[in-house]
Amino acid sequence: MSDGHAVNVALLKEEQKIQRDLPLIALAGQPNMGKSTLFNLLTGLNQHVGNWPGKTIERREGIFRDNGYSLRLIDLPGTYSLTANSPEELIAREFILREQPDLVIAVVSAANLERSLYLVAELISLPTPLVVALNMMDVAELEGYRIDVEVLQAALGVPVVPLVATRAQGVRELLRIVEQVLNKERVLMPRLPEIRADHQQALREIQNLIHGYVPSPYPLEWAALKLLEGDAELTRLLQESLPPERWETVHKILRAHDDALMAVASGRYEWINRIMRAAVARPPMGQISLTERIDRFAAHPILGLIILALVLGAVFWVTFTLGSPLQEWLELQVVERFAVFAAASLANAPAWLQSLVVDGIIGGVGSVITFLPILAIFFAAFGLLEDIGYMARAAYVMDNFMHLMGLHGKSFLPLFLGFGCNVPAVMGTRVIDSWSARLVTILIAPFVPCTARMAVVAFLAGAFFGKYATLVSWGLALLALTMLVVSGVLLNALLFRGKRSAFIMEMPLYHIPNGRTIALLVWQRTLAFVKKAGTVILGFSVLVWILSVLPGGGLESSFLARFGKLVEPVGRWMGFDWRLTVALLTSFLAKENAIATLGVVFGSGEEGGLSQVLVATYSPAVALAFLTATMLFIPCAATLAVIKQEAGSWRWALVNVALMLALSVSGSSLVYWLARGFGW
Amino acid sequence: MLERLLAELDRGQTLSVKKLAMQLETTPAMVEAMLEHLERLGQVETVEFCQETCAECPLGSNCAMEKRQRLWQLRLNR
Repeated sequence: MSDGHAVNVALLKEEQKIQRDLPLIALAGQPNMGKSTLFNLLTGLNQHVGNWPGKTIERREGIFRDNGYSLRLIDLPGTYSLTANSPEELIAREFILREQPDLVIAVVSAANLERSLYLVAELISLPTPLVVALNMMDVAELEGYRIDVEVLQAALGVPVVPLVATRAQGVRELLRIVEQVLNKERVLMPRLPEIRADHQQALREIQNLIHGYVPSPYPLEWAALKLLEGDAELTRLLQESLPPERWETVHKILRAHDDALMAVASGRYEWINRIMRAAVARPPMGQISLTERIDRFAAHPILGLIILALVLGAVFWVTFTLGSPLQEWLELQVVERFAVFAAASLANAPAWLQSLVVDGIIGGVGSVITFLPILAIFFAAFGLLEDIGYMARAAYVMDNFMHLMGLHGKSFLPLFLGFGCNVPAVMGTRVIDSWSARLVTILIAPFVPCTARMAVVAFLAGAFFGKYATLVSWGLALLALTMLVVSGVLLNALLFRGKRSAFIMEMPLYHIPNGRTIALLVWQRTLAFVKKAGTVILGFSVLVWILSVLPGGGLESSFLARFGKLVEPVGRWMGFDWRLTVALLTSFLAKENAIATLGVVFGSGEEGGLSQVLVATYSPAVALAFLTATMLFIPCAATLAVIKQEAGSWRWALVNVALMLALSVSGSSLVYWLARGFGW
Repeated sequence: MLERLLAELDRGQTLSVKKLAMQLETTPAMVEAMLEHLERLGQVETVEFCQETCAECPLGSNCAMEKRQRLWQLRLNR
């Protein structure tokens, strides 16, 4: 037994010695380039997994065997470069420099060459022979990239082998090239990246100064370059090994070239760019070029704004063309008939109960429920614009426009959300680092017309302005956005004087919309609206009804009328009677309440529905003023609560209320008197 | 090239990756690679939009920013 054990140990030692004598190949590459797939493919079960000494980073080593030919393989940690920025990068470069493998295989992605080649730019500068495994050729082909491997090879000066590691394609050729390099049958002529001329002189000076002091096994040129790049590990080592006066001279040069970090990296990217231009042909037609063609207009600083305005106009046009007839149908055929049916069914019930159901609940909630087609179209239209990739362009051109007005770059993000609802828009300002910029954005976010506000506008504009409803709604939306910009500029001038920071966006490709995604979005948002109608708006409608019947004696003497008449003098500036003034004020709880209140006050059971009653009661000038006031009116209670929460005090919430109230009252008064001047 | 990219960013404008690529006479993928490099160097940062904000948001499940594109910002105190 003990003899057998001794034999086994001896065999194991012999095997380990044989393995140590095998050619050592290191697999290097950035994360997700298929390095581990290639390693597994080559080593199969002949691999050992452990940790790198003193680290918790996985070390994988294995043996490749084929027809008596064997290689020892090390799977290095995935790294972006060989600068000691992370433990992985330190391990990879220390292994290559200290263990001195016979060859390094750099695994790069053919579909992502720009990223992959940075590490190659560093590896190629080391004395270890290099072979590039150009993996994911199938993905690159699918994406329409044509890579001229011969040209790439000539540009790099090292062998390049196309590969699809997941299908084991090209692996034989890779092994053949590896064998050739190991047997010195292939001469490598690496073409190295260059650095700027002024830094080249500094590099030479540093090389002269550190010559003879560079700790083994670091190559002199490489160590000098890493010093120039500000590599912390090399700086520490050379500071320890150089005499103090010599280090001081080196340090002076480094201080004088403190931009060398960028210059060295920049030189590598220039090198990559040249290689890419020479060796890679991009798809000339198809999706990418279509996106580019559309973006020439859609992302243009001026044309883009015009297109955005037209898109907004188109959304309103679709809303009125499809939504308004459906809304009218719901109003006349469903809500009005239901009110008549309810009144008949409750004919023998107490008068207050009949009034509560018909005027309070059906009048209030029923009127709001007729918004449903309009809201569904808004949701679908914005969902469609998001899904095809247009909203990113809209945000981009708006942001450029806002920059011209002095607003902060990040502000567009939360404002963009405001089209859905102002609550997440205010909450979304957390993305902005600067407090003053964030505060400005919080204060202007409620100017973005949310869907609830737009639905109220759509309801009334359709009733009052018929075929001009699209134009009126479009003009009101643009007015709100203009007020947003003007307020932003003014608040900025007062609060935000910080430096603007650059902001870079990645534009998604335009693509065919997914009907299911949009349908799901419309369904979820419509459901949320129905829930709101069944809770907040229902409760509020009942409250308004109670106020409209108490203390008895008719609407004109009710608590609601008394309150309305108290604030009516302000409403009169805008052409409003007490009913419209109250309707506007009740929109504070939820924007839809403006219609719910009018429904309760005027009753939805009236012939022709609420919209016809309103048309018969008010002039177009009053309607236009009411729409303007609604568009610019103070935010709803939920938004105001969030403003207080995010701004940290009621002071800023009140500033927002004061600002919007002033603009709303002055703006709608101006609109009313101008419209009257035109004889409306 | 990286220096030219930083010079463009220093102007403080809002830019698309494509526009930057055109200005630098390179590809958008190259610009993204350089932005990621600058991010590793701490020169730019990725803008994280929805984290705890979205968790608290009532519209979080169908948020417009759910399918957001990547965004970077130049660090002011770099």
